[in-house]
Amino acid sequence: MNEALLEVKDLTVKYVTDLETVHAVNRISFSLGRGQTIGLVGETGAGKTTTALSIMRLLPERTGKVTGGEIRFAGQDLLAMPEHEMQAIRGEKIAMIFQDPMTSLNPVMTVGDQIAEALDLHNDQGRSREQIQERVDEVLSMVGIPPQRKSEYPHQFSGGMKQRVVIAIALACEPELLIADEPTTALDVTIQAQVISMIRELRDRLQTAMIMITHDLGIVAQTCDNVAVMYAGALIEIGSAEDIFLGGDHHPYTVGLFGSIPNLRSKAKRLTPIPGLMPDPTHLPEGCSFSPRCPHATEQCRTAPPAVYTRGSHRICCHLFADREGWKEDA
Amino acid sequence: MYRYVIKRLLLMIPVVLGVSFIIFTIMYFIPGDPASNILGVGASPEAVAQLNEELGYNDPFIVRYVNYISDAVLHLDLGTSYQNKLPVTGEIAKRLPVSATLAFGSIMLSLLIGVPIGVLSAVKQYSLWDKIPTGLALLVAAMPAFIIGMLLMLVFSLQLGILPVSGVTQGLKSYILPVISLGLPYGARQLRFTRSSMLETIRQDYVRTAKAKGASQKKTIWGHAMKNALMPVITVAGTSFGALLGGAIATESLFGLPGLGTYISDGIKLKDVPAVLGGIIVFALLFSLVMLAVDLSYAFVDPRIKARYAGRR
Repeated sequence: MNEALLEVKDLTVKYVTDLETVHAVNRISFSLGRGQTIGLVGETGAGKTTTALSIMRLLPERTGKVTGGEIRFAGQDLLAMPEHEMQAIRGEKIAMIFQDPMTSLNPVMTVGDQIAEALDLHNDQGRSREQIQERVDEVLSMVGIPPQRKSEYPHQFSGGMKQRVVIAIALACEPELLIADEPTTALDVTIQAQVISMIRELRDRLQTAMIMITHDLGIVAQTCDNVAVMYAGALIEIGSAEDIFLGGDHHPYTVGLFGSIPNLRSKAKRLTPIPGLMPDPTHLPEGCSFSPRCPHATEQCRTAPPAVYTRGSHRICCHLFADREGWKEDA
Repeated sequence: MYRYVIKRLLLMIPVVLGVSFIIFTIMYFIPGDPASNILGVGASPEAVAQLNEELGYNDPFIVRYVNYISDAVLHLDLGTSYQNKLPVTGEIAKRLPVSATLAFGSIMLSLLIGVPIGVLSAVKQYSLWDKIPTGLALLVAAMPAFIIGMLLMLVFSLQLGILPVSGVTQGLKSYILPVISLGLPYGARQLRFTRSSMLETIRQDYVRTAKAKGASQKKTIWGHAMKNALMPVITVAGTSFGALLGGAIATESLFGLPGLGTYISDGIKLKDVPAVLGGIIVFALLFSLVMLAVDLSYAFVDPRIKARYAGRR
């Protein structure tokens, strides 16, 4: 791995309201090299989006609080940065594609203006109006939208086209890190494939590092160098794409996750969903948070939080690996 | 778009006709006849009967209504006031500017107070910037305009003596107190609507998108959220105008402004049927026009609505 562009260490995020405290993200750590892509996988509510919003520092102001850990981007501590410096990074160095293109564009502003705004906010090169408009045309054709449509409003675009506009906004300033938060969840299956291959192609062309948040393991296999599996706010397994997709050792949750998607090659008649539900994030279990649903759970799992065990680039957070051959406890 | 405007203007005809019919019917059932009103108590029964005949009072209801409407439409003649024997149309033309100044001033004041403070309290939700204005707004909105008017009068006219108590003899200065007392409660209402509309808007995904682009709080609020939050604000301003015309009756009486409101309220007291009828029809016409303006202004704010208007035949 080359020099890390993004380093997340022991990040802990809570949503605090008068009524309860939601433990959304619990001490997660991962790093991402320049030009690399990491997949953040997990069920709805696992804390994937919260992790992304923490990196962007866009957590809901009143309730969302980073209570521990650090996020370093290109050597700078993002969490300690004053807001105006963060504004210079958002959109310019780190950009984000949101889940629902239907609602993430301003309905009363032309798409051209919405792209131009990103360029205008980070106009370090001192581009003129015309140059900004030229760049808008360029970005639009990059995402496959005819530039003459820039004077149209979002309601005149289909869902897939809107997501292309959102991607154009994100890539307008050629960010070093792109966070794609379930970019295709809201789209039709046929459009999904188009959008994913476009994101992949643009990432390769612009040499952008990427965090791909998804619950679709197929997308992860297509796009990611590394994969991190999240469960109930914790990172339970992380490794290279080979470790996750080809390796034999996995966290029981990852095994369950793979068991719940159809496989063309195996002859299974039925999918095997993971029984039960994710624990209530306001009251996480004492030991391993997956223990209530885990088929291998022991008494130890219910009482003591598991340590992290590593083998090469592969890290798993599970008691089962305490005395497995080739696995070492992480210091 | 033009088709839409023309269609809406045509639709105003049945609305105003409907209003005039209802008011005409109500007035028809009010006891008393025009001639005894005009001639006074001392008039001989013969003279009264003759004048009633001349005025068409003895015609059937429908004939009277049709005559009234055709006079109004063809000759802009809304009849003659029983009270001072002057044509109603001329009187309304003289009084309309007074009422319009009052209503327009009050709407402007309510927007000037309500919108900026509403935005501020939404952005600073739950802080003192939010709690104090919304608390005050509740207090002011609960106070009838004439109470505020009397308090203002007490302080500025009677104690300090810097503003006139009543009448319009001092030009725009005479409108200051009436506009404040009428506009303040609406400003309070506007504040609450702006605040809730803004609160909803700043939680929208596209506001987050704007922040993700690196826009500052100020830019996201004024550049992205404001235009989207404006729709309910315009609606409230428009419908307030209707209520304002009604509320103006009390305010105009309190400050002795010779506007349409006092014309109608005096007319009601003196059973001056043509005055009341004419005044209310003009109010209805004004209100329909304002609502049309409100609907059209949506199109300028929201391109989706513009597209819908253009698509409608």
